[in-house]
Amino acid sequence: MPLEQSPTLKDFYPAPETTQPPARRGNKVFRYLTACLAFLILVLLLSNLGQGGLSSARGGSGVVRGLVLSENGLPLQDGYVKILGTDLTATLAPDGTFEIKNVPDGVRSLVVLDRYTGLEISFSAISGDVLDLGLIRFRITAVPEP
Amino acid sequence: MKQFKGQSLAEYVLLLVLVASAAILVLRLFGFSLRQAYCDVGIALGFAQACETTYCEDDFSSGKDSWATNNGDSPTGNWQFNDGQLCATGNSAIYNKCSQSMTPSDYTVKLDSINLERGDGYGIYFRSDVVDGKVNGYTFQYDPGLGAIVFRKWVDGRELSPFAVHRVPSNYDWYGKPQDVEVKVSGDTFTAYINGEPVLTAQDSTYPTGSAGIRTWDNTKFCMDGFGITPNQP
Repeated sequence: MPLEQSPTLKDFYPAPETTQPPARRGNKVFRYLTACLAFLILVLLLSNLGQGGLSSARGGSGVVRGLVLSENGLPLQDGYVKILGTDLTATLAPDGTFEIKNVPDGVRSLVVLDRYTGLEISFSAISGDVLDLGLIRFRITAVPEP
Repeated sequence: MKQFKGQSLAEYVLLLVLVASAAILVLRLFGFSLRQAYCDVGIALGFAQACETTYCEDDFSSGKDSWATNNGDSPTGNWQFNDGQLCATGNSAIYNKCSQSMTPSDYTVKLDSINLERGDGYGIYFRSDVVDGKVNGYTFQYDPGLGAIVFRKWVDGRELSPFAVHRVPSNYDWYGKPQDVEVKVSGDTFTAYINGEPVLTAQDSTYPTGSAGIRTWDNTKFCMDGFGITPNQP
């Protein structure tokens, strides 16, 4: 081919557009599915974590108080109370009263303990509230309390 | 230009891994044990031996090294390990050392051929831990003193009123008959069996993990042939 007939740079300008083949519908669905699964796993991981220590960190706390008397009506001596599942404890005052602060929200169990035995009482702690359990008779029974 | 259709092998592998991970996490979220599932399927297909593992076991032929008291000491004279038997008298408790290092929280505690000869009864500790000589956990009690079999909770070494009771008829003969006694601990549900028959079920979620042991009190005397902790069978 003579030099005059050979193409110049202008013949190539503007450059032809390189066209990508359109993404197939199947590929799009596949990638969408993968992304959804990855998100689901992230949510599940957080839920599994939440079942552990993180869940207990949620919510507020309240105060619970009461009076513990022995079967003969006198303040229980050498006794203390404890919220099960927590480190919260309080020694009974000489008049048998007690108060525990920072009790986490929800249904809780308070146990009253003397030297050998204990009595369990369920209650619901509500954030910001003071719950007065009133008089607790410290009586150990061979069967569950009604 | 060559057109690639479909997904690459890597993408399929990624999808499979993600699906498997999601499935496992969902099962975990609902407290489902994958190992238990394999065992259940294996047993259903007649491969029971595949899951016949034992977490802890003692036939009492090698002394008392597997046991400790509340204070971590070797069991005293109240507990006699002789000729493949453990015999106990008086007021005391011992804990199985193997169970204290055991990972699973769901298990079945077994006492083989336990024979109460006299006294107010014996108990099986489960989901229990001893801290500073004080036990926190549960007991199942075979309890002629109460005239009942019961589940009881322990807090800081103090026993609480039973949270589940099965009253036994007054003419029931408590003594002089060897029995296989088991306590199956699964999630927050506890079931006691005597000679394979369920006799008491209870629920409590205070203590999610812990070890096993044996207790006796008052003027009790009993002997037993074996102690074991196994995975739960369906």
